[in-house]
Amino acid sequence: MSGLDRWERNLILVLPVLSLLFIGVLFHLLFPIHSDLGGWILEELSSVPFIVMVPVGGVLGYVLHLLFRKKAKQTIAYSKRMMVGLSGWLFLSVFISLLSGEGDILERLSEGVLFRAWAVFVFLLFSLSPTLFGVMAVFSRKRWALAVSVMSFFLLATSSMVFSQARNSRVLEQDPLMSLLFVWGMIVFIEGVNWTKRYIDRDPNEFPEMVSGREIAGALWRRQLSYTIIFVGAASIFAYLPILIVEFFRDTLPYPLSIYETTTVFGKGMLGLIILLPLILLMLARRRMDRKRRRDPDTDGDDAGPFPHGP
Amino acid sequence: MSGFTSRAVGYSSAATVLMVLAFVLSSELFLIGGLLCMALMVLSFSFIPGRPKVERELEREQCFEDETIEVLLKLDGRKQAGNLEVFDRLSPGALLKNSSNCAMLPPGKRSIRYVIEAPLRGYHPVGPTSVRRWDPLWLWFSQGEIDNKSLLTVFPSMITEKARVMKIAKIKQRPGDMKLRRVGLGKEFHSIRDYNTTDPFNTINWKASARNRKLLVNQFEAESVTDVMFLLDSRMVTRVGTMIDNPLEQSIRFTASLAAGLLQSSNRVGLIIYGSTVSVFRPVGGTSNLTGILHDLTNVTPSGYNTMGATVEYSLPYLDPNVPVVLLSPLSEDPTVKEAIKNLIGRGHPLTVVSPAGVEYERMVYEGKITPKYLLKRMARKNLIDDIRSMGAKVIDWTPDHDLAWAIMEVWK
Repeated sequence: MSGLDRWERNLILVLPVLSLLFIGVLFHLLFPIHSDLGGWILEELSSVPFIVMVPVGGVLGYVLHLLFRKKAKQTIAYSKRMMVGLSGWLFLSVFISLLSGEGDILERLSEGVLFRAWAVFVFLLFSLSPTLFGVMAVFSRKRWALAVSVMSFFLLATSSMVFSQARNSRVLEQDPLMSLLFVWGMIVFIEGVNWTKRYIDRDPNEFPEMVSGREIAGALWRRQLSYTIIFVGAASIFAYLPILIVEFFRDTLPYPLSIYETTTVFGKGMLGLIILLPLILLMLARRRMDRKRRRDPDTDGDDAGPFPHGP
Repeated sequence: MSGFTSRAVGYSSAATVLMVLAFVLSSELFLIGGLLCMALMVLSFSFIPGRPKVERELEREQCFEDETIEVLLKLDGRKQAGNLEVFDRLSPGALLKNSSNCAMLPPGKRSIRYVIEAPLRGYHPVGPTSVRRWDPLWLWFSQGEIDNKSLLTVFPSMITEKARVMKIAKIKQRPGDMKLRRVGLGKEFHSIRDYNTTDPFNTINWKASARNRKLLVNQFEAESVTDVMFLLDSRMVTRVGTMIDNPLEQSIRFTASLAAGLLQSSNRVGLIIYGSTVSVFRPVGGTSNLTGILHDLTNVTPSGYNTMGATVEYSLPYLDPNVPVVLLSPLSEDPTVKEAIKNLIGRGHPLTVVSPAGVEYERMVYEGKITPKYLLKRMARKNLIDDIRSMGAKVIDWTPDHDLAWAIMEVWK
């Protein structure tokens, strides 16, 4: 028993899965160039869009979760061996490419069959990993799986952007609203997995009034949910404001703001940081006030140490 | 002290990396992501609840071993954003029986109720309370300790039974002035009753008789009959066994039970405890003094290597002539036992030796294995007990198979 109502429990369990699916779809819409990246490695891969990778990665992630649950040690050992094998494969393919073929080193490397096969394998692994590790994070509540999933999304986004700039010599356009939705989805995914750990997997004895009133766990979650919505909303305004300012007042901005730099991402970033500055100062002031109150005679210094369950 | 969660570290790293990547790759996605993460963290870090006032109420401040005590922790703070995590520290000698001493809850007026069990006598601290004040998104905390320690006194468990006629008991040679709150031949006034023909004239209360127009006499309180001295061995060697079940703990429980019974039957009880030092508590009477004796017993810690011979030598001046002595000792690792017992019996003290078998407690720790060392120790103990019996002392060989009630019944036999 977690102390939550059934609907709250179900919502917490469903939320990360839905958000993972949502960001998978959004990624596909934001980065259609991802399939071109696949096609650059192997022609046939261009016909496999990212949206296909989402369910495949999910299914593989669930299988991996089951394997981890039943045979954790063997799976970890097998994964380690696979990493060593991949490194060996890369080393061997580079070595063979250097010894055989014609042309310069890069040409020989890109035409080597062994190296290409390795590149396809690694590309597929990276493309599948956001949902693969995401599903693992949802089911097995592993923190590292969550981190790998989030990092994989950003790694794929980065590689798509770099590929676009290298191939077409132009910056990949990203719709700000879609980008905002993507970041929201990511935050919901991260927070959702955290809520599962905090409110569903936790020892119910840690919520003191579980027997007399189930409201404590539920109240804590509802508080966190409302604060998350409020804070994400407010933070979105702060994040979106520089883009809005530049877009709406592009032609009417007074000097020195009406310069080329303000329309670039760097300019928008600087504007964003300037907007954030009062908030940062407010935070520092509050922290300072809190420290001053520490001299209250009711409190007696600080003490490190864990908060174990029990004496 | 402050601390961060891995989520906070993740958000802050993501904010930094995304901002750098946004500038390098001219990515609006990364820019929005970086700024949003940064703003989210700054917003959450700005809201932290104030320090609450924490008060603790114990159901009772004194209890006996194995009893349960309910602890109520009252938190009083303003309703603010953020969350509180509270941990009420407990002594290792106290066990959590019900609910939890660790809780997460929103700020405001709250209460935490939990039940602890005290299986071991002693003075157990409850508290201080550690409070972690978390931001609304549980990203970081500020931890402090509130100095609100309470002390729970756990007395040794007892069997409360009125003492029977002790074979060791002797009428005191010099009756003291102890009041017994019952009618007898003492000097303290107790009550008034009608005159009988056998009453001496000096007991007639003339003023009361004049008021009531009939003869009335004063009644006086009775006085004590026996002093009993307990000689308790609290050397380090008595600690053998488990924390809860060892010769010292059993001896203390026995002393508490017998002392309560003796006091209830109008006797006086004294206590000599030896271990690292020798402490002598002169005989006291009346049930009101039981608490004092229980406190003395609660305070006992196994330590030191004082011998029984030296203890008896030291405490003989404090023993009134012919006072019955109850010796509680496992009789192990002390070459002066026989000499001390000879000394006591020689001085005319009727002696009862209650000896929890330390060697058997030691064997229990080793899962009942019978080793040559154990056999030798058991043989030496048996010989020693036989020798003591032959000196004229009553010896109760108390093995772990027998409970406290059995040992007390043996004294009355």
